[in-house]
Amino acid sequence: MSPRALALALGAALAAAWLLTADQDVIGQVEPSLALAPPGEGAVLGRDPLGRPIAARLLRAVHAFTAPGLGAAALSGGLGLALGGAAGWWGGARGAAAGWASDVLGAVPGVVWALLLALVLGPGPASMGLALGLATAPALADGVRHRVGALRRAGFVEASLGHGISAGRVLGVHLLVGACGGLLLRHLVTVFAACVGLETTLAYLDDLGTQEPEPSWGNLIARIGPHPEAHPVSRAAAPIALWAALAALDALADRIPDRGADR
Amino acid sequence: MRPGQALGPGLRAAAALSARAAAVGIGVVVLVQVLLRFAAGDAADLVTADPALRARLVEAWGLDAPLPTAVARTLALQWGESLTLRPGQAVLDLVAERAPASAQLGASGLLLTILLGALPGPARAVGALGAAPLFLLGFAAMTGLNELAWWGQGWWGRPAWFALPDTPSPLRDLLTVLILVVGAGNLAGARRELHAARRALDAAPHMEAARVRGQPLGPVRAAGLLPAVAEVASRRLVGIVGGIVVVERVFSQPGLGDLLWQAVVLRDVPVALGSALTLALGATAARWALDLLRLWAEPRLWGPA
Repeated sequence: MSPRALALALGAALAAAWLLTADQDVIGQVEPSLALAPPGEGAVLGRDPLGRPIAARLLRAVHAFTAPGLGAAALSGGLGLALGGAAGWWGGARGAAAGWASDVLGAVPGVVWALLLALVLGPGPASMGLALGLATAPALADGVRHRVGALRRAGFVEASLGHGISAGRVLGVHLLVGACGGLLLRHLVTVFAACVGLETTLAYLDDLGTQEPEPSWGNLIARIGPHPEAHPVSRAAAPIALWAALAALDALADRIPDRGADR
Repeated sequence: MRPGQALGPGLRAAAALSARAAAVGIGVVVLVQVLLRFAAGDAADLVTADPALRARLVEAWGLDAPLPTAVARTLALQWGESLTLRPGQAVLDLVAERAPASAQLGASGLLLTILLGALPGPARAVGALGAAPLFLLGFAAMTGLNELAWWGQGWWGRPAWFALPDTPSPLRDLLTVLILVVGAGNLAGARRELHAARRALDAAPHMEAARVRGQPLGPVRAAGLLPAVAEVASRRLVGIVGGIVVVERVFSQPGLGDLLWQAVVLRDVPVALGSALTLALGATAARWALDLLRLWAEPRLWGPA
């Protein structure tokens, strides 16, 4: 499958799941008499320990990571391009300062960022998106710095500057978009996937992620997984959905062409 | 004579690398203090509404002290006492108690990542498994093993050593390390990078020359791969440290990651800051050591003499 088709399929699936479940009543679905009911009419994947249909909650769970994932990708992309572009273009003291800022951000692992920001700002999608955006920006900045630094004295850059094209336009259009566009797209997909992983991890492990009654693939796994009496399909649904989504995002990131790498 | 001119190029490069690592370490401390200070509202407000306790916390965390003073206190390891997790106990003692287990887990995880990453063979299966987050692999391992034991022994008759994750056992330790290595793309990434380095090395002119001379290729390849191994290990380290936090929590391992998580849940700010800083600064120090190793093994990085 081409990267464009894969991206379209993933985007359409995400949008459909988002729109179909936008008005879902996550509290009114509770039916204790149907707790852990096997797949059947009205619940194709069975029901959770509170009698709620798993399929509907599985779809609704995309709300938990989509907004922070898009926010994290935007922040990481913007910050990574700015730091890497500055370090590669200017070099010297300004470049070293940008490189240092990138190194400092990258020294703290994403999950530690997420925990620190949950402590200081309170847990939630905003602190999670911010944490991941800050933690992942250095990876992009590093790649951008190498490319921009290598092309800074290239003939076409000197010629563009000689023809009076502004440095900002040469850096922004020719180097950041032209030479680093593929790298940026790959990075955005990777950050979104990392956000799916982080959101589900926080929801699975403790009180720092998505809270009940709002569903997350993480809290679905934590609530249904440990019940051996639940139907195998019900137990496997959330882990498979999570793994498949991450594997698809991983495959998409791998297939995005990065033409700037050949320059 | 200019400063640094008396040193050899290797020592100068090592000094520059060390200065950079120190600057990053100080930057991490400054960043965490700024975060604490400029949080929405006040970090002390998040913990208590009692004015007396609030005043004590502001004083203890140095929120009323100028930023340089607060940074200097942190660098001098004046991390205060635990508030809620173990009230009254020095944060430094708590961190020192938990750090060895995390350091051991991190070191064995990194070593295994490099060893398995360097093995020949296809990376596709590892890549597919590695797409799963660490907690999912932990969940699958615990559920699978527990139910295998239930299936074999009957519901109540399962052996105690299968009672993951709460009971300490060699199985739990082994699973923790393996999942840390395989999950979140750690092993797949290391394999990709190490195999690329090996391909590049095999195509290098000096390898070709060694082949033509009939020289044994093992030592030449090992010497050539050492810088790449150090670079890959340095790059993977932050991911491994982040993974430690998750796997320690999943498998109830009493390390720094578990301490950080508990401190955040219980809003014990001094312990959370102490454990987060120890993890971040530990990773920075380990990266510095690996970068020094790379510098030692790769004289081309020393720059012009």
